[in-house]
Amino acid sequence: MSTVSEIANHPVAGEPLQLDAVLDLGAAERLHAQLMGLRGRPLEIDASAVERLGGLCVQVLLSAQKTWAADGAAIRLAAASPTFEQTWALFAAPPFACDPAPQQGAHA
Amino acid sequence: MSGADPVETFRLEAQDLLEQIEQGLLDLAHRPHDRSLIDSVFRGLHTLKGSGAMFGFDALAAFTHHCESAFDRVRKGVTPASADLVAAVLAAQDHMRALAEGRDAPHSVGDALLERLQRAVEEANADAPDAAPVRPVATTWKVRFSLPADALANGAKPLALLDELRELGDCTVAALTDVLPPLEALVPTECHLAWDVRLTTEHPRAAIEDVFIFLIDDMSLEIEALDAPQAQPDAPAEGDPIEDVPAEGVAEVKASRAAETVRVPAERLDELMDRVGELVIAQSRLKQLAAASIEPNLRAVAEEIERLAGELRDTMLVVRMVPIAQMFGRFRRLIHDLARDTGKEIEFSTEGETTELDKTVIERLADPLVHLIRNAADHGLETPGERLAAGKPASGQVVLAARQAGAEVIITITDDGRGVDRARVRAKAEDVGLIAPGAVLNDGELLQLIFHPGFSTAKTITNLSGRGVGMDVVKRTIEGLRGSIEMTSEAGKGSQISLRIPLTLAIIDGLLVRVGTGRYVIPLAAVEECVELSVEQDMRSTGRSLLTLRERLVPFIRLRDLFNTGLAPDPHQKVVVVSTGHERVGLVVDQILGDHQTVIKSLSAVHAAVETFSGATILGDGGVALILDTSHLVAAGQRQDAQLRATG
Repeated sequence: MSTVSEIANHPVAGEPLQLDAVLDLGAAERLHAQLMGLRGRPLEIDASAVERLGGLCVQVLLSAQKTWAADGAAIRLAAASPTFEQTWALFAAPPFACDPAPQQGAHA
Repeated sequence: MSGADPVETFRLEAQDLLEQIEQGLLDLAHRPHDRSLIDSVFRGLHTLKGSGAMFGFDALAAFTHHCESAFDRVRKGVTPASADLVAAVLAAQDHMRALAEGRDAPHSVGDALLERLQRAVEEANADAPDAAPVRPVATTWKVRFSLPADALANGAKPLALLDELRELGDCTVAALTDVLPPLEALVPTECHLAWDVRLTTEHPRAAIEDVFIFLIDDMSLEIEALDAPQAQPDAPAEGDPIEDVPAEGVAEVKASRAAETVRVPAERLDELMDRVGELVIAQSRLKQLAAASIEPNLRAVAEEIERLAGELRDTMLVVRMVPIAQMFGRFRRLIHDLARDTGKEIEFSTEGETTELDKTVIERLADPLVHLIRNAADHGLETPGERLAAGKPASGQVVLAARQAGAEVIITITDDGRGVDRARVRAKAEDVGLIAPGAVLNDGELLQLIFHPGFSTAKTITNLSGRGVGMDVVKRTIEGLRGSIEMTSEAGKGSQISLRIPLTLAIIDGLLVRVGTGRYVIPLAAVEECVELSVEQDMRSTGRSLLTLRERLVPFIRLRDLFNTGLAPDPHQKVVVVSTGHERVGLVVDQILGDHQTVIKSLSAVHAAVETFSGATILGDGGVALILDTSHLVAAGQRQDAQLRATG
């Protein structure tokens, strides 16, 4: 399995961004840098390998959603592990959308 | 960033929490229905458990969890705060202290304490009056919170907070992403998220606040009741265990917690005090140089530095001052245990808790006070039967009081017990050879025998009163603090021990005097006035010298003689009248040089036994002046006077 940093160093256009298994405190900065490098193009995210998801990474992903929407580019969650889905819901984060409209808070 | 050891930081925190818990429990023993006390104890236990787990004190966290659960039941009104339950948690608290301090805390002891706690809870439940059925009171709350920016990096877990909220009742949660910056402005290590929660719960507002207990000081938290209670409770049952106290607003909670203090290691304060001391000495040298100079600017700067150094010194001394309440609090537990161990009923009260003393003095006073209080309870107070037979209330009183008098704090320990049995004191003193049989002693001298090494009149040696050691050690410790100890006692009515303690051990205002070629400092706080000793008065006085001051005779001591200067007296000698306890005594010096900010330096071990000096100080010219210990000096002078009279 590729690590987040490897993906960040070798972004492959058109392929989903595969998230690392552990998205904890230490992974937030790397994830942020990686997403910054992918700005301006439609993005699919593959979260099927995620085994651990922390608040800071949730925040980075939510910010990415907002940024992509503001850029008018599509962002989509192509696949998600049960852990990712469950943790995302526990954080009460709004669902990932393809719609490039700005995201707002919604009651979960 | 401070490089403080987190484990040590936790231990200090735990110490404070355990004191808070202990004080709450001791108060609860008298006011078992006081909601604020119950909440305070619960919060203390809750925080101790949480912090303990966070810092790896798992055994402490697990043990505390049981006590917290018991108090959660009390808080919810399910279990009354019975005397046994309070006593069980109090006993458990000692075990928590041992676990926090990393001392030996065997599992078997912990298990026994938990069994005792369990029994106390069950018995309290069984004894509780049947409560009228209470229908659930559910309130919907709007809770909006955001965490400090560094909270997640510091280990806070929003999911755990949300889980705790969800456990309280029906919960709808939404993450608020509006405040989230776009990716380019996002600092990925900082928390920007906020949450909006609708919570319908039967728990009180305090339970919601408790969820955020570790973060509440720094976070943003709004709690608002959205509707009136959905159901009303039946009329409270008779003897409803919990007194209703209005819930504190979060802002108030924050404000009260933010009665802000900063924890500073004591050694840093000591270091700072040393620096201030050096500065005061350097300033003193500057003052002397400026005085010898004709340069007006130098004089102006020297005066300014003197003013600033004085202010800095005063500020520093205030920083070191801590309220004596901190120490008094511990003795409540001591009395509680003494009452249990002796079978005596003891009412303990304190006065003047806000009186402040230098922290070093407070630390060194703790042990002597423990001993004196133990003595008052063990030797002084009678058993309930004896008291009733003597026409006294069954319950004995011990009062610990403090008040400031000038540059001293006077601490008194008063009991209304049997008083000192003079005949027994005399018999014991004769028995151990402290006095000759039939020696003539006044009452004060007789009572002073109690402070002799090895003296004890306890008929039975108990583990409370010690084994004949103690009062002499107490006296030595107090004198080591440049203080004094006095005792008064009335047969059948009780005793009082008074300790006079200087406010600080670091820097004092002094009066610099010259005797022969030597310079000495007299603590200004002890000085009442200075007068000239006329040649006639000097010539007239022989043996015990007396001076008439405003129609009252004041004895005086010639320091020149006492210090054996071997020099002729100055033609214009001065008398510095000092107050020592109830006495006024004049000290004859050759010259008064002026006031002096005196940085006290301890004497070397070789000279420590010289009672008449309490220390030394460095003067502006680099010379050294000895600091006079006025009470010892007066005693020495009186002894010398007596010898002179005896030899004619």
